[in-house]
Amino acid sequence: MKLREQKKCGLLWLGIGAALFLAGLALQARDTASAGYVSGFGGGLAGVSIARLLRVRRLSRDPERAADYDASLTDERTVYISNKARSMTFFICVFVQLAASMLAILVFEQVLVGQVLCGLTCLQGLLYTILYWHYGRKY
Amino acid sequence: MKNMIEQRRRERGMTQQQLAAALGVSRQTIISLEGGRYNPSLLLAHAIARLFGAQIEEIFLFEEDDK
Repeated sequence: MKLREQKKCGLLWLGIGAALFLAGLALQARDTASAGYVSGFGGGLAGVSIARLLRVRRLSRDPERAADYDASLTDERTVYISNKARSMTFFICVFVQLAASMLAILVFEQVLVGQVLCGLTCLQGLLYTILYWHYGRKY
Repeated sequence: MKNMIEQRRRERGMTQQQLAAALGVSRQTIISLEGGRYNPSLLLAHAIARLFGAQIEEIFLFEEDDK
């Protein structure tokens, strides 16, 4: 995403975050249970947006660095690294989910939780198989 | 994979930033390429070779151990 678009997105998310934060404060006045979540989420969103906007401001003052940043978003090495990270995350998550489901069933005696985790893992495996077949035919 | 990117770049008096801009990639990609930590795609390898006015085999030195 180019700097100009990042600035627009940043301002939009800052507005949404600020609105949620204020909404949370208003809900707190009415002693609503979800008030803390809403204001916390809004505050976090606003904080991240401010950090992004500060980065955009810093980059817009240095055209060479901005061009390098723009290139880094889409260059092949970045794509390669993100694909590798994504696939490794999926690989690790499958084992973590299976371990969690075993723990849920055998240790914590939460059979439903274990079944849901197992089912999700099976679905992920099935989806991976289908996509592997699809891309195998495409390439 | 070993390559001659850094040598060719220095011969032309280019900085890593200038080479990155010429190829449309980030400076970090050039750093990784020169360090041999990242192997480029065929398209990028071709673009690098064309920029230096050389063949791909003259820039990228394939060795049996690279398999």
